[in-house]
Amino acid sequence: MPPREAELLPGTLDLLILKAVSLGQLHGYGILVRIGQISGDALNIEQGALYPALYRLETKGFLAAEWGVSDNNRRAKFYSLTASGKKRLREETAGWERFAAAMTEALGA
Amino acid sequence: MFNRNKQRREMAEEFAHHIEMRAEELMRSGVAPDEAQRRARAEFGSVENYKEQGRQARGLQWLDELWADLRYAVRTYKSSPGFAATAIGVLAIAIGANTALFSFFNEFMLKPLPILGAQKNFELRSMYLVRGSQERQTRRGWTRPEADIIRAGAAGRFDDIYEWAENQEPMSEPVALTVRVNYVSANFLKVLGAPILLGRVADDATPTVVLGYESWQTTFHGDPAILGKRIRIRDREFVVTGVTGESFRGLNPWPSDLYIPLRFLQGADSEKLILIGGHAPSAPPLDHLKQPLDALGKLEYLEIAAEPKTTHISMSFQSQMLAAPVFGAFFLVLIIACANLANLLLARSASRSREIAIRLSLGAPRWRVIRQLLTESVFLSIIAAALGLAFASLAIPAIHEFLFAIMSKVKMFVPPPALDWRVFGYTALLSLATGVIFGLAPALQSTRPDALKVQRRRGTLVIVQTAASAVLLLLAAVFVADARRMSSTDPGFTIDRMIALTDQTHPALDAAIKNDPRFASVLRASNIPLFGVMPPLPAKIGDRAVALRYDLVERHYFETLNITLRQGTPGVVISESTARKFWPNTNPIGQTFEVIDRMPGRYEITGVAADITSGLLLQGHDPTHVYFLLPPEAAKDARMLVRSNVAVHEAIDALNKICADTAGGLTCRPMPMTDILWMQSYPMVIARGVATGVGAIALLLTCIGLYGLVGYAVVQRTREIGIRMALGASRLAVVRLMIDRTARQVLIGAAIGMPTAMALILFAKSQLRIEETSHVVPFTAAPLVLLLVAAGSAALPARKATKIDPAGALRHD
Repeated sequence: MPPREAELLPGTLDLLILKAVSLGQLHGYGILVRIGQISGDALNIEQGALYPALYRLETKGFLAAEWGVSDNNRRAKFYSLTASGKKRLREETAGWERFAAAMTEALGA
Repeated sequence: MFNRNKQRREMAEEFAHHIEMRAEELMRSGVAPDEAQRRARAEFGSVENYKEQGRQARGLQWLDELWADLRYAVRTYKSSPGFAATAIGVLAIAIGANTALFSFFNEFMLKPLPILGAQKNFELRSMYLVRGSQERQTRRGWTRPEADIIRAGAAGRFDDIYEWAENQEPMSEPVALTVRVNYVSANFLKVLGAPILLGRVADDATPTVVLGYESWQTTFHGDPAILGKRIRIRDREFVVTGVTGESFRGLNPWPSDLYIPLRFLQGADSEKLILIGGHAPSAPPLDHLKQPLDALGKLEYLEIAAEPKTTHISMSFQSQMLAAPVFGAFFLVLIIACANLANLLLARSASRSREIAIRLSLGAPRWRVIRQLLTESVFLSIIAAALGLAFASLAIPAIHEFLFAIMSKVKMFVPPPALDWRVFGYTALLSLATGVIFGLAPALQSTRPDALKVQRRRGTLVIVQTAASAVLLLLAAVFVADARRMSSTDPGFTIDRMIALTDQTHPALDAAIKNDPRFASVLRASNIPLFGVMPPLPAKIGDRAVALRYDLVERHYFETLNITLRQGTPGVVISESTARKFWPNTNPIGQTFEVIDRMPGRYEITGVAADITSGLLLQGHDPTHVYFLLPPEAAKDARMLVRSNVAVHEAIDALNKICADTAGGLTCRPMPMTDILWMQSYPMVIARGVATGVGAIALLLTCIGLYGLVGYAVVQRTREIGIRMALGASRLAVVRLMIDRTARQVLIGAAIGMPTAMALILFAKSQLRIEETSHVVPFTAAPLVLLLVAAGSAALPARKATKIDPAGALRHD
């Protein structure tokens, strides 16, 4: 395991997924790749773990899913952010920022 | 189910797509195809694991699993119908018994009274001292002068305040019949929300009557033109102005026939007690009433309180203390049933160990298997509860008839309890609880990697259920013995052909009865024996302060009741026990004692009479008893006892007739002394009936349990038995092999249960002040019965083991 990869804090996967999907409709693998891109490949998760999180967000109504055709012409399920998902993302981001600021403050002191 | 399959398919497709995309990307970066596939799959992780997590994330997982578990449970039970039927039967009996008990409890203690504002209904009660005595008494009734003071002083503290009194009255027109009358204040029917089916409630100035629904239906055949008709009670006519709706019964559990304005309640002010109730958001303080009530001069009030009256029987400390042991006994039955089933399941789990081991080794989490086993047991208990509910609804009318036989004897027809949502809820709760209780231990046990402790736990369960059955059987046996002793107890005086007038002391009656040749004698006494006792008389013997049970009696009391005078003559007669207690080794005749209260003075003893039992038969003969002569001026208020020359029922009719013809029509409520005796033993008869029922159920369940247990062991150990027999073991040895352990456990259970029951019984008897007697018979009979029955139900299946064909058994898997 490359030393620069960080373990995921509990609960942050949902936030990353919401963030990734907020930039455009994506299928599961696409979300994984997008998370890798926006985090500079700094996060380490087992790929299958993505799906339970996706279903959870879908059940809660933060994500909408529909079947479509992927780049390589195969059937794939695409996820997009719903209105309540957008709201959730704003709240979670704000919360995360407060948390991160507090942590930085605490560790820098 | 369509959704579920679709969901599963889609998940599989999505995962496959993911892995494919990843593999393609790896190949693009130069990885060989095979290696790319392998790495893509490895990076994804366990597909099955994530499928499971994915389904849980969707929140439907548990439902799917429940469905699967249920189908599995049905399949399992289909393959062993004998086991399922036994288990359901055992549990249904136990749950049915508990449901029936609860439905009675619910009817009288939980269900709100069928009146308007039941939740804010209060009844006024008092605690007082009779002037000069130190004995606290409580009372829920009030005399007319007291009621007037209360109404004036407390009305402002209640939303509504109402008064009522119940009496049985002789109706003479349109038909001759004893009717139950509620004498009520003008606002009674309105405040309690009685629906008026016909007519109206008139004001209380004129003699009017409102009929109760049931009396209208039965006595008046639902006559639609009843309004305006006349009813005669004693010497007064009442005009019917209305009929109440069916749902209204008044405040008692039995319906009232007539509602008549309270001002027409007859009788001396001091005799007729009026009940006062009111509606208020919370109990108002009433201490300010003490002073004006004390000023009436007779009693000294310690407390005036508004007590919640929201159900027929209030949930007071006393009623809970009474209900607790009954519920305890019924719960023991449930525990026996659960122990039984847990045991059978444990026995079965041994034969299911292979199936469970396979499931566990295939990677099913342990809790998942436990959950499946619990689903199976709860599934059983739910079916059993439904069956138990059916049992209960069939049994309730019979139990009701048994319990309320005495009530209908005095014409109080209490309707049987109905099953309502509280009962259903209770049964549902029982079924879930029992399902989990009897299923949990076996489920935990059989999913353990090492099943060695199973044997020991099964032993504990046999001990528990035998101990519980022993307790119940013994209680039943003691009750039966006590009831028998009571019915054979001689009160010490003649009760045959003696009739008490329980509700009349009119002075004109003595002559009227004496002149009738059907009656041998009339007797006046301060108290009817066996019909309650007067508070003891404070007295001093020498310097010693004592309390004496006493009666004021006419001179011919002893002769009429056949009480032997051992010495002396009537005057101041003491009982033999009293003599032994206070004047041991001396002749009590001529000795004196001083009475401090009620009839103060110094008295000289003139005679000694044989002991009698005038209080509760269960408490044995009177510890002290002094008979004073009844002063002539007190005779007119004293109770009347009549000795008849003719058969009792004929005498009763004659007395009713004499009373109705005397002084403008009197009610006497004559009651044969044999009935009074019967009334006393009635609670014991009920206790005996309930205890015997519970004991029998406990025994039955224990039998079924032991039979099943040993039977199962025989099937399980068929191969071993075959080998033993092939090697020459005798039949007896085989039977002993099968029942040895069970017999030991039964003995231990009995050894634990017997002393427990004995302690319980001794404690209860000391609390109830019941005379201590020898319990040799019940304490020998109960364990004998238990051991015999246990031995029988274990030996029966064990005998089957001896019929095993060794050759066949060796091939047995």
